[in-house]
Amino acid sequence: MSLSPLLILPPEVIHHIIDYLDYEDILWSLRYVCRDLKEKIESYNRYRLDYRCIPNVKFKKICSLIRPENVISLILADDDAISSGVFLTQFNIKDFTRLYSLTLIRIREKHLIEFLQHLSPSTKYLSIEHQDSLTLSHETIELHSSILTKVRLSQLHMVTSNFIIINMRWPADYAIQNLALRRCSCKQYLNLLRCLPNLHTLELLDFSTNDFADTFPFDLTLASFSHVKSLTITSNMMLMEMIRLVISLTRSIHYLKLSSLTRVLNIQNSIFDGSQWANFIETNLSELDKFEFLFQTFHTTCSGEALKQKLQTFVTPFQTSFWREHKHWFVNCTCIKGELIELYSIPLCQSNHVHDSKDNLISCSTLVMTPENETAMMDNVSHLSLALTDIPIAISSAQTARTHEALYRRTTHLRLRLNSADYKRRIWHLSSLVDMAYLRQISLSSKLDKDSNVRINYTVDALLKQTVNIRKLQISFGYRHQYDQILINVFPSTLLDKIIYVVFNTGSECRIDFILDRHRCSTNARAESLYNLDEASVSLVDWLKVNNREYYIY
Amino acid sequence: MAGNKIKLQSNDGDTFDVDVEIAKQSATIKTMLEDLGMSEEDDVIPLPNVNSAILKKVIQWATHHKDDPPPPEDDENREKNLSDISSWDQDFLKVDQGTLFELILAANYLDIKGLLDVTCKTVANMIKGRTPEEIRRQFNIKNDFTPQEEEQIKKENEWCEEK
Repeated sequence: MSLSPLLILPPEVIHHIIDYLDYEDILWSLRYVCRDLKEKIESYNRYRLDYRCIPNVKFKKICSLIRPENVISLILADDDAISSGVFLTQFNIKDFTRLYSLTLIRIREKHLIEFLQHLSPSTKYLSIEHQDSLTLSHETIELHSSILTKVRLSQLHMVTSNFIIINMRWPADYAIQNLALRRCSCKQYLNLLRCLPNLHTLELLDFSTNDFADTFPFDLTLASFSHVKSLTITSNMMLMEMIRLVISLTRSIHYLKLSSLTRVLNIQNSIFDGSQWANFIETNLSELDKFEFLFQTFHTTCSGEALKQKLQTFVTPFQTSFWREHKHWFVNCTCIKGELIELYSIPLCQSNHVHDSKDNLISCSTLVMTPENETAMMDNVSHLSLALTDIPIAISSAQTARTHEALYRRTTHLRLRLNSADYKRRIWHLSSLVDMAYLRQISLSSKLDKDSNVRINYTVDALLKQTVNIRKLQISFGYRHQYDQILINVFPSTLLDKIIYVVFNTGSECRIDFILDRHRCSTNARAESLYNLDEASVSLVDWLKVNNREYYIY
Repeated sequence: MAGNKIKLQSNDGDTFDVDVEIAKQSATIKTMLEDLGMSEEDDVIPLPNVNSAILKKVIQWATHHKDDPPPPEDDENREKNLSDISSWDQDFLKVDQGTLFELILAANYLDIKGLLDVTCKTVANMIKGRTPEEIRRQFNIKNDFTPQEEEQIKKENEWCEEK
């Protein structure tokens, strides 16, 4: 047998290939192919570990197979199986000396402190989403500021309160290039532009305009901060004159994304006004080459033909040569259930999307809606919410023309509400809407009734038969707050590489053993935030003990 | 500089006239031209590690991608995505395994990041989700573990059997 071409490749090229594989492919497949590959994998040192998708049993193996200094990226979320607490029982964050990227999602304060205190100086990307930043201690807030002097971050993403942002002290000439903040005020925005000279990409989520009048008095002479090239703002109730002033500070941007829910009394001079935008962009944003937006407003005044005409008035200003020929920017305007009007650039720029049946939508567009354009319009949708009743059973002519191409072909996360008695038929038609091969996570929610178990079982089976890349399946009964839930991490023996999380409301009378026993699962459970163990929780814990299952309670 | 040509010579003696800007997608050639003081008028640039057929493919790829933005700095640490191979690249890489791996070696030697990325992604896609035995079959690899090592592997994978 001649030497395989794969084995001729030098280690650095094998490592380049490994960069595109996840830990399972590396540790449990490639490593066991032959000695040569095993040796090359031993020297691999660019592991990216997303603990949201790693079950407890594999976590222990990973601890023994991957040395912390070979990890460059970590993602931890306290809502998932390997929480920060479990992680810190096995690892010392100080040992992750080459950590380049760290993402912490809603982790407990005491663990957050541990991570921040011992953050590697090599870290360039830090993302923190606080559980509830208002309850953080003064020391923890201070710690956020001290990180900035200790670590030269190039990207910082913080989903936090205004309270913390106010207390962040940016060292002079801080080299950060990408910054995303939630609930930043106008004053803080101005301050960030002034004190971060290398800032290239700025995302302001839930941008607060409460201090707009104080920050931008009418006689203010505005400077332009040319270092910012990409600006994203999401904010409610933004007026056109506010947006114009805020964006005027960054006239050299190449990319602009805006999202706002607002009240529109009159299209003229509102953010819905395409002619205003064309004037503003031509006059102030000469370098802008991509403009994405989603503007929403509520509507109650008309229906039928009158509504169609109203939508057309929104779209007409975007049909000029500036939009269609000079910029090649196209828009769509949709009224959903006769209540919500959305005006957006094509393709839709939101990663989260709620699908509605066509019967509930009235649309008009500056782009001819071929089946291909219709599909391409949804290419940014990675997280989709869908009700079972919205899955069409009859195949429409548009779908036939699409020749099997699903409307949502880039969706990785699906949230599905099992709200139809006709679930057995509808679930098999899901692929007419969603590319099933692309799905990585599915969350199912069902009301709790006498048929819940049967409905869930059938749906889980049908989904797992249609998908190939599912890593996480979450099932919840009812819609209660996450603190009232128990998270079960299930490993069906027939589906070894899949993780199923079953989320039960602690207050529910629902039995968990039906699904666990049915799949003869190797089960690990993590029960957190059980401040008051109620009867159902106690039964669950008893069941886990009797069946010799591993579980954690904090 | 636009429109200027250089001559690239494969290891089997064929020479190819290539636009300088296209050839400069190779960091190796760019370095030769800029740092080592070579100019377009100089004699041919010999590429001793690339044969004629592969060099032709590499030039075809570089010509198609001549207007692509430069690869981002610090790319090693970015999130890697397996699914973003353009349809042109997918068609371009519908070749036998021998050619694919020669392209990888050429991209590595010539230091053409975009081509190395897309060829490595293609190989990663051939590995993803497969068992060790399936990977052996896919790439014609012999299992050279001793029975003792096999036993050890089985032990390490025992968690799979847990109920």
